[in-house]
Amino acid sequence: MPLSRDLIESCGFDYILSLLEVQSPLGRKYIKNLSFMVQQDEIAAEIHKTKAFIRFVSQDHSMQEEFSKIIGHIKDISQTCHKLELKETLDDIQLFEIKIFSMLCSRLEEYIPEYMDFLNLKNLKDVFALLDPANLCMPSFYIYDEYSEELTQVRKRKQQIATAFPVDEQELINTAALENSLENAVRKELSQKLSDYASAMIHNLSMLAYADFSTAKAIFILNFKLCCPEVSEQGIYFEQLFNIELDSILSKNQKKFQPVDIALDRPVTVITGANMSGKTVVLKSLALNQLMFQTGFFLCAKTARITPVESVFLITKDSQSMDEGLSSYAFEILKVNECIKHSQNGEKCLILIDELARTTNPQEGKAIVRSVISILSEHNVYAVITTHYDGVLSKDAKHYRVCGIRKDKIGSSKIKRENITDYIDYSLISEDGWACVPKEALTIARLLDVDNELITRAEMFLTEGQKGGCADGK
Amino acid sequence: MNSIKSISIVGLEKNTGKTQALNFFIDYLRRKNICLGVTSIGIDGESTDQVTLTQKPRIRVYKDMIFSTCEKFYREKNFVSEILNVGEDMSALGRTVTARAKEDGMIILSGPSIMSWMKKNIDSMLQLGCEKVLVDGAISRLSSSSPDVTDAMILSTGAALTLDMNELVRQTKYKVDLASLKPVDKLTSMALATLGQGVWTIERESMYAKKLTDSPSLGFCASDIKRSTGIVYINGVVSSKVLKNLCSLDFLRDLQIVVTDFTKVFADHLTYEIFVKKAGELKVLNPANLVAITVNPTSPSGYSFNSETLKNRLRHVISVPVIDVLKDGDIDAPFPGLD
Repeated sequence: MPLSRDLIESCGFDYILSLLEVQSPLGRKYIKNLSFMVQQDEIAAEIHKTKAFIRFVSQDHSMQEEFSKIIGHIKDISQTCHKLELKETLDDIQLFEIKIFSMLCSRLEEYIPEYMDFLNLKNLKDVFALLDPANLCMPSFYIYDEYSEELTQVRKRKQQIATAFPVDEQELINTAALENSLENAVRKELSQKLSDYASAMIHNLSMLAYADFSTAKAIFILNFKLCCPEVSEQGIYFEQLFNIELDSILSKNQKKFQPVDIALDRPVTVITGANMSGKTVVLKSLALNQLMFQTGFFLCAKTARITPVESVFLITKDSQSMDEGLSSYAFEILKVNECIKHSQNGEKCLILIDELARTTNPQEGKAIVRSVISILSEHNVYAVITTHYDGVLSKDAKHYRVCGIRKDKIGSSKIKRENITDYIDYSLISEDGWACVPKEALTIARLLDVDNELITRAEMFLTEGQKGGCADGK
Repeated sequence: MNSIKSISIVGLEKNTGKTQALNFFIDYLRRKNICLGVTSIGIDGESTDQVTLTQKPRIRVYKDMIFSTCEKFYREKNFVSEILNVGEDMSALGRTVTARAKEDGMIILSGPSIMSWMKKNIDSMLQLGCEKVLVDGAISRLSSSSPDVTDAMILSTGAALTLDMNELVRQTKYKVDLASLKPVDKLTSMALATLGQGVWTIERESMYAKKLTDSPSLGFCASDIKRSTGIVYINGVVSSKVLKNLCSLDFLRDLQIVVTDFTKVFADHLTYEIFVKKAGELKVLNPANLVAITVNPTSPSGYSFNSETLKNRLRHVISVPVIDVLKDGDIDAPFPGLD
């Protein structure tokens, strides 16, 4: 199953893919058509192969460097191969490309270690032999004299006529025409013979595309110290989930990403927390790692135990599209509807919704959130919903609260807009059922040095309107 | 064997005999038993010239010569040749095919049209065994003669440029003057090479570099250049506006004005002369190596200068060899700098 471009971009998978250093156009094509695996055993087998590539990159480094260097010279000749399959006659340029390809394939065989026998390149020595009749072993090609005795004679005669004085123009044209038809006959015969190998060449092309991608992937896994996921029947568990893209942005400012632990062991999980507390990042990281898991990557965490799902939905503030001329609410609710349709069909989905129904009025918004939670909790899905709404938490869902502002640290030093993130603890705390959502919007506003009058008046309205509600945090 | 590995042939105008010049130098180098490669600046999908509706000329290649052209023209050729390489970069006429001729023949050359691809193509031809590569450059586009791309250049001029001989000599001399701009000293060159696009001033004492603008064409404030400034480095296009701006400085004679190479100078002739008159001197990071001027005394309309007069007028003001390849195509005469 191919992945949607929208999903790849909204969760940051495109950033991960852009870090892969593939060597050939084949590898680049492979990344574009990356397939999403759904079967457990398929993913387990891919993990096994990935381990082999990691061994190749780390233990047989010099061998792998040669291997990658050769792959870098390989061109995408799939068009030519398809022509052969259709029994078309190739021209010299295409024959040259096939010759070079067969030569590089034979050379690559030497650099594939035993533990990577799953690459299983088809031997193309016969293809090379067909295109090297003079046995010169050179990386060049033309219609050699050796292909036909008659051609040799005609070419000789053509030379004689061309160098004689005066040149017999008519005879020269006749001989050149004869040479041309003899060459065409050779091309036709060669193409006929080569067509038997078309499927073997297509097989090798796809194997090399896979090898190029997997080598780049293995290097990437080692560089970023990703963890090997455990494939499980149910549940999605991460210990110290981190985000490479955000970490690289933070490290430019000498900051570090704070990893989080999360366990999705029930159909619905609700995350509450103050603004700026990293809820969206958690959702995006969950989507990203699920995609990475099901495309054969290792994961951005210390440990991970994951079950494959059939589809992933990520609905965030910035995933909305104006293209369809819908309001942000309409767009969101239609997306949610799609998720619900899929889960009602019994599909195992990962559904990640950021601040559901936040753009409409709070009364109806709350009702919508509760309704979505209660429907999803009856199905075979893993849904994570973040919200600021009170009173939507129920026994149907698991509840995480982002730790939030570290009150112990406030006051110890001057807080500015630049360093406010230092005062936030991003870890997720599992709450039992009914706790209230934290209210830290005004605290954050104060930390950000917002006009005092705004804050005091807001506080006044808050106490006026608050009869029996939850006052602070818990 | 000297160090010149690649030579571009550029024309100041159409019909200045660039193709004859190319054929002449192919012959010349071939006689010296040099393994020769030829290629050409691409023609962006047109096989006929849109101005004069004449066909792009076929070039004669000889047995064992290496040539590179686009897939389209490679398929159209009528002689046996052995493919050595097929490039990766795709142009409107296909990829660039490099091949060795197995017999004499005629071919339309059209290599890469992007300079970085051309550079790559030349390097690959040298790797395939060429000792020298001739590049048929574009008409009135000097970019292929940039020292970044080729080691040396040959300039074709002629009656096609103008029928006023004084003007012809003046315009040719101007291009020759630019191509002969002196390089800065090694140390300065190394320091300047690290600076990016834009106009920079470098302080005389501290060698402190300061960027005046991101691009010379955006203009800059001449008053930002102080008396303590030693070098003004222009990394980008040098237009008349830029030179005029510099002319307003009364300490121009104390400054070193440095440009990357002469192909970046697009200022008109008169402005440049005024700049020189005011004791301004342009220097370059990468000096060009002009080895010869070829002249075609006949204009496409049929008018013809006296070949000897024209050559003598040019020789009077230009120090590199000036030849009329049709008249005195003596391929046995030596060419300083070429062999």
